[in-house]
Amino acid sequence: MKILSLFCALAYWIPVSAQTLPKPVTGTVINSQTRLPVEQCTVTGKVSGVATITNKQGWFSLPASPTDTLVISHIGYATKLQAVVTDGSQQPLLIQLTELNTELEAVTVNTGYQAVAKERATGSFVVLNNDLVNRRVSTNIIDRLQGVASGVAFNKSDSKGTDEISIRGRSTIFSNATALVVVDNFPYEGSLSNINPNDVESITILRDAAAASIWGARAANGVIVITTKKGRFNQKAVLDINSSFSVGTKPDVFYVPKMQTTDIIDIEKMLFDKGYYNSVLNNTTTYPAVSPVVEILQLRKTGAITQAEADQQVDALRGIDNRNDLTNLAYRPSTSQQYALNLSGGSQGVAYFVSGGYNRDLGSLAQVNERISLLSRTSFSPVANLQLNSSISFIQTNAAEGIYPGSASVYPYERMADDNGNSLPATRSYRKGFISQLQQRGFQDWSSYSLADAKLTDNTTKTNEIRLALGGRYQLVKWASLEFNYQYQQQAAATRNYQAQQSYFVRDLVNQYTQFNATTGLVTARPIPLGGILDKAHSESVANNGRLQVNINHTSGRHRLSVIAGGEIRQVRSESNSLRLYGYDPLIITNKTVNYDSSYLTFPFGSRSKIPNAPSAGTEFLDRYLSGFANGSYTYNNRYTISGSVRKDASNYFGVAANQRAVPLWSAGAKWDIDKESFYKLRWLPLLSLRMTYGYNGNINKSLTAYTTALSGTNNFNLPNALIINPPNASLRWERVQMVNMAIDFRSRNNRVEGSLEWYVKKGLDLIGSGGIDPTSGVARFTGNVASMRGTGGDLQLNTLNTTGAVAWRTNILVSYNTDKVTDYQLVPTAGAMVSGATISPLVGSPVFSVYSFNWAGLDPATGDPQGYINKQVSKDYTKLVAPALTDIQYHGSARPLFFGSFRNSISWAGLSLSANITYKLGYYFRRKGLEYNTLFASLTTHSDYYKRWQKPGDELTTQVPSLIYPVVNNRDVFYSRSEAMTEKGDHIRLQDIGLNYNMDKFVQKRLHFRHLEAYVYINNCGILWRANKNGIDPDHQQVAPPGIHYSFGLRAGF
Amino acid sequence: MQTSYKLLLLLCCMTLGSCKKGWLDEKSNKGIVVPTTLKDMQALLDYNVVMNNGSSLFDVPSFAETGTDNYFLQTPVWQALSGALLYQKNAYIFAKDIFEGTLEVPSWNIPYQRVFYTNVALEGLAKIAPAPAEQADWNNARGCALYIRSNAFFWLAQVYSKPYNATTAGSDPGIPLRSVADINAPSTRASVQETYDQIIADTKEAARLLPAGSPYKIRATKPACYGLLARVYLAMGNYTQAGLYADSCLQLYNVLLDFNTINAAVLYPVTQYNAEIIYPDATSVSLFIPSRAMADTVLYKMYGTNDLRKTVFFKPVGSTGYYSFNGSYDGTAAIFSGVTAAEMYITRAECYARANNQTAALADLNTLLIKRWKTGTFVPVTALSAEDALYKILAERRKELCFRGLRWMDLRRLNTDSRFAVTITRMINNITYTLPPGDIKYTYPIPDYIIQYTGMQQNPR
Repeated sequence: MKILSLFCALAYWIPVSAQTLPKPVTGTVINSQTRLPVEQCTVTGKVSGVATITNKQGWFSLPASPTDTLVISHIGYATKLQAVVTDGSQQPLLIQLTELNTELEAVTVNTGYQAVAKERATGSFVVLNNDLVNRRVSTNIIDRLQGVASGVAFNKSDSKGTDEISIRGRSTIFSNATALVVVDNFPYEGSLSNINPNDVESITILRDAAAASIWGARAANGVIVITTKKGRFNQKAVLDINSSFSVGTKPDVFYVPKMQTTDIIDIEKMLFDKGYYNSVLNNTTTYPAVSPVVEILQLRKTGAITQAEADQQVDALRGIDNRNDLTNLAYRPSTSQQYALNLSGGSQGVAYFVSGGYNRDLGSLAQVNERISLLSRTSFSPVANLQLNSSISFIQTNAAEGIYPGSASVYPYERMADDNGNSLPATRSYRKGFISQLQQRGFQDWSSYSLADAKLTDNTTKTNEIRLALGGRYQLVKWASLEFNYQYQQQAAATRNYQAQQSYFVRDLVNQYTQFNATTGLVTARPIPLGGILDKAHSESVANNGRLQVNINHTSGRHRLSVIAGGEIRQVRSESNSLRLYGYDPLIITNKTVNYDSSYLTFPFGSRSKIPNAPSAGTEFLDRYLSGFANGSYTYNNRYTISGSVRKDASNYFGVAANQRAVPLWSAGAKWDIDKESFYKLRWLPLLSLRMTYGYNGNINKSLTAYTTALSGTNNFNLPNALIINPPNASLRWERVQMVNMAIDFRSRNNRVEGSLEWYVKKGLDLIGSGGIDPTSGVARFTGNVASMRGTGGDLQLNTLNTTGAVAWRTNILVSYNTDKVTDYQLVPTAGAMVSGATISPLVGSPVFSVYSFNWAGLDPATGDPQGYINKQVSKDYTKLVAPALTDIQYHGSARPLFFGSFRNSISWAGLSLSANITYKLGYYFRRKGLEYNTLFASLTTHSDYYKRWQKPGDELTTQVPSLIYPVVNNRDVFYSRSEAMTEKGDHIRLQDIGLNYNMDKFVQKRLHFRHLEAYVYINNCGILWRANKNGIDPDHQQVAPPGIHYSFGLRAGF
Repeated sequence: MQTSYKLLLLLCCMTLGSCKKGWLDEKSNKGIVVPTTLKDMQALLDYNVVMNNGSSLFDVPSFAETGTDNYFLQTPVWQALSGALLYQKNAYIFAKDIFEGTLEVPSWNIPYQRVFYTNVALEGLAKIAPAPAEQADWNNARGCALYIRSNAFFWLAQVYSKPYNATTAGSDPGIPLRSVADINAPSTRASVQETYDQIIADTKEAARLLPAGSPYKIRATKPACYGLLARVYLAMGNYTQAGLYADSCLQLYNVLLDFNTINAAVLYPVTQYNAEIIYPDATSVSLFIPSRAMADTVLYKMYGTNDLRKTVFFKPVGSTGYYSFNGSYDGTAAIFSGVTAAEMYITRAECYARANNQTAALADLNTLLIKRWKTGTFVPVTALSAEDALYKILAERRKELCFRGLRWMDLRRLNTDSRFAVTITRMINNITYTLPPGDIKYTYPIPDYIIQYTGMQQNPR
């Protein structure tokens, strides 16, 4: 800094000679990246020796002959040569200077505690710069990591894993598996969808022990550090605007292949004839609903209508498929609007950044999501050695739920609305004949109108977040500074769910509690009053974080030492409660009181119940942490670096024995810059370095305690009661992950090929495992530190510059490999549990998420029954087949991809740039859903495999779908649906997105005095290019339709 | 450098050291407790969702009821049973393999969950030295714990171990009698004799500790203990003791419901926690919902026209001409298995009859029945002999205590007497299944996974 100002001061004194004075050349010097003007830049005529300095606008004027060449230089920038005459015109020149930093000093990584030059970092970091963060158009910041962050997997289709995102695979079996997210120094509590992506400057992902260990007991799953933008001192005020509009297609309701209505009706007729519905039809106490078809068949059976009438009524339903109604009446294309505005700048002592953002997303059902975000960050330097930072962030979101009308109408031939769009009643809980005679007794109409109902519910959630941060850094001596940071974060969410009196929910509840005279049947009292029902829920969390740390950066000769050390204190207090108001009238804001203490006879079930949702005390949590940490690195001669870190965390997790509250964790690493050695002669490979780290990260599981713990409540006699939630476990410890990482970084001459290859081995130790206990003990599950696992993998990142010149073509390749296996587990799960896959059933030697299936022996040629093997003999003993020995099941492989990554190409030419990202997931398995007669009969859950079912001998050669039999043999369905026949390879390649940007800087800078103008088009979810399965299933979206193609259009402008 | 660095380290250490103690002792979840106090122990035992509520899956009494002749299933209904009702489906036809590898059998797990709660409470109470003012509460908690555990053991013994036979009870395998909260303690089967001995000893202790009555119906009391003891001795065929304990119970509590005051038009006419109940316990199993299980036609025909139980207990099922049982003392479709004053009257009557005390036996029977018949229509029961009285009392016992799991206990003990032995017959799809008296299928198998975990001996079947 000092050298720079000295140089600038000197530059003023360089005399400008005025001799023959050729015509002056004018122009502007700008920074090639930020596109901001560069002031104090020296412009010299190479021949004439005449020189000048650019002004604040980067403008210069210099007399120079047309044959001369200008030398443009500035400290920190690469010196540029520019011929005076470019095209004969007398237009001002636009000269772009490239910052040296971006080429040599590459990137800094931000750990949340310090920013480290990547070249001196031993750990495994992935940095997404602003360009990559902005590449994707989305309102959610985390979406923007997808397909561009090496080693980061998005686990879309897992219902049992809680980790939507995993960094380098899984490090735990049952505990928290989500990565820690840090925003501006401190862990971020609350919903990440609150963060405005336009405020984000960069994202750093900490992948190994050395990188993440500074976060100690919460680092085992990796850390995502988000850094927001800030102003710089001595920077001209700039204004940036970004606006976009997106539109997405309607969900494809036909994605899951189903049977045609006419065939479903035939199934119902068959079941009716077999007496399947007898017990339901004979139920004259609660009159459970039967389908309209069964209703008609019953009328025919009792003789109320003729066969011809019955046939005619049933046939009229055969052509209806209510999925059409869902598409036409309920769904609409989704849209999203985004507006963002940033203002930043700075003077000698103050730098500021102010931003505002507004999003409005409309979902494909009537959902609305709005977000307003405001951020203001200020730095000022009142005295030379002190810099103070403050930041205020305010975010408000408003969300209105959309109601999915399809859940109420299960029968495919029940239309939601007639041809005029009027909502039609759907068969729901009770038979129509029963409902129809109740109204005259004084009950509310008990019909369900699914389409109309969606409009009678108003479910909105409003959240507010305030984040205040204050920090300061005092330079004690040249090489040491003292730093403090404090952050206050408050989040409040209020949900308001109003259901009008006409809604099915209210009518149903009122009717259930309606009291009537036993002899006349007439209604006598309504313990739940008429009127709407309003449910309000409120939750709030307040986090206070404080940190004090000392930073040391000392360079002397060939030694460079960098150390941070400090302490941290953190408290999160959260509470939530909910309240229900009955008989609510939104117009005059009144409600009616109810008697929560009495038990009422409920109708038609006849049991006695109290009115639900009595006021309760809610929940209250208080989490406290105290940590001490130190992290240091030492570099010798710019080529040998060693690093180390230690951290100790203590918390108030309840029930943990006092001596186990604190967990110490540490890491160490080394780096060798081979290219800087004197013996290194490879000129084509100017950068080559090796890195290695080793260390431990921790993971916490808040659900466990060392003592028997119980959850307090109140029973129906208003007596305090207690539910045991945790049996005692005196030897409970926190989980640890040990990790070794080895890496090589390289770059060829002229940046043609650049990248890194990393290899790691990680071991999960003292992992919490569950299961493995005799239920006679009184607990069905035991949880303790019984497990360990091992993961290995690698990440390759390769960036190539394929062409230079007018057309620049770059390719970015990400290949990640990850595999894990359980190495220690006390309990051997049953083969049935492993095949079912409904819960995590760890087996030593296999991945945590594995796909197993029953051995498949094809269909019986005589009957079409599915067959398996018992002791290598073909068998149809389904009871035995679904509970085989461990040796009798088939292991297919991991349920999570072994290989994943992306292949991204960008081509730019004269302001136009086109980029397309292809992502892939390889080497894994999944089980597809097919036809199950059990659910087909019980709930008419159909699958088009019905048409492929075995019907006559010979069919077994072409199909694997079993024959239809009645009565259902449960385990026959279970066996088939979990057999080898239903297992598919998950491998697929997807064209994730295409982006097209048009940069109009040259044009606007000349004509409109804009700094920057860019228009962009972005197409997301373009589709699958190749998949291994032949059934057209998107392995990321098996149960529901994958999101349709999403088109975005936008504009960025800078002034 | 040295000074500032040391200063900071000192600061950190101070922060960490000084506030670590108190600051980190604050509870993380305000709703969670480590049960240590007397109140906490009672709160565990008052957790009635597990201990005695109708919504729990205590399940053993209903599993017992599955094997009785009180009901039948029509073929289509039986065929449609699946999922959680799979083992009821198999038990209905006395199949050899009932569980088919089912991995969670509530009839085993939930009674032992009750046992675990009581063991936690009993161990906790042992560590508390109550102040004189707390002695009554302490006694109450220990008494409740012993009662709940004994009740669970009793039902488990009715289902998973052989009927009591004094000559072989010492070697017949009983049930695991878990008495420690340590979940790692091994489970082994005690003998039938040890099982009954412990149930009796514990219940007797509970009877000494508990008060004669409680303001909270869900808590065990002295009469509840005597009622349980009467049941236990009845199951053992010790009619002298059974009669004595039924008598002790009735001395303290003998309120009977007058069925003339009950509104039979309601779906479930008998209310939960009604005055006749001495100890409530119920289990809901969807096999016995009115549209599935139909009341046995012979049973239904046993009720006289003016017997109010005919309408209070039974409701017609659609147009089938059959009837469902709607008379649960839980006020729901749940199987009620608690103790009532009526059960004690009928138990004492049986014991009097067996002791040749015909007059006292008929007096008890008529005391009960007059409350069951339409006012003015009841003709007191008479008998030719004590044996005749016994026949009549056992017929009334079946009518009064149907759908409570108790019929299973009665079948097991009465089958040893050729006068009362019956063969149970099922008909599904025109195939007949029978359960002859004294068959080994009167003992259910232990769930397969329990055998795998513990290596304990399986019941032959």
